[in-house]
Amino acid sequence: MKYCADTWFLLKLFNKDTRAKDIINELRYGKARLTIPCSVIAETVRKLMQQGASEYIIKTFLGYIEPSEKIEIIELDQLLAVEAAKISLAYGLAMMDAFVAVTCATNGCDVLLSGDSDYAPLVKRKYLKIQAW
Amino acid sequence: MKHHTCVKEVRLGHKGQFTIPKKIRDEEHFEEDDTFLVHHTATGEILLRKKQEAVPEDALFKAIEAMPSFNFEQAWKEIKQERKKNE
Repeated sequence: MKYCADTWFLLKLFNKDTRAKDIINELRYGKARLTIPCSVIAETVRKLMQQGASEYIIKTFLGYIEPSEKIEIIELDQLLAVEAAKISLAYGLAMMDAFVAVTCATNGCDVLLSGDSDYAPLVKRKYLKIQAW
Repeated sequence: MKHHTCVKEVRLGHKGQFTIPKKIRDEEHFEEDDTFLVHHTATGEILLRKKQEAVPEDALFKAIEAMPSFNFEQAWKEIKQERKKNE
């Protein structure tokens, strides 16, 4: 399984959510892989800091998600930017949502880990699949 | 602020033990039973380094447990508002 993480998932993880931890264990023990858009990292770190995360927590998180065989960090490039702009206009999505959706779709991810209902039109058009709980 | 140079005086006990100052233990999240590597350099310095977790997930889970409780629903709602505000 190749997952793509929205900020929703990473916040769930830091909220000690059991299912989010299970997915990390899937990476640890199984063949699952995780793709994270760079913008999601920025958004997550900002929110965690707002919620009182210490430097240790942030440093450990960033250390964990360093690109590896299991985790892929996707930076925004010109192709992604243009595709995100198209998706944003076509489905009335916020640009950040569009970046996440395009990163998921163009990197061959099986599902996007997000509880965001704004992706519903994309799911309906089978542009991506969502996994939430 | 962390990662500034810090010098503290400690006294060696008769069994060769000394206490790492609490401030440093807290900042570095040292806990009982943590394992350390002691480097004795050619110039006579002694460097103490915490042995890293063998599995990165263990370190991540430890950091997650150290995260203060927060209202997930509220945090996510704020993110959605910020995303929409940036449209």
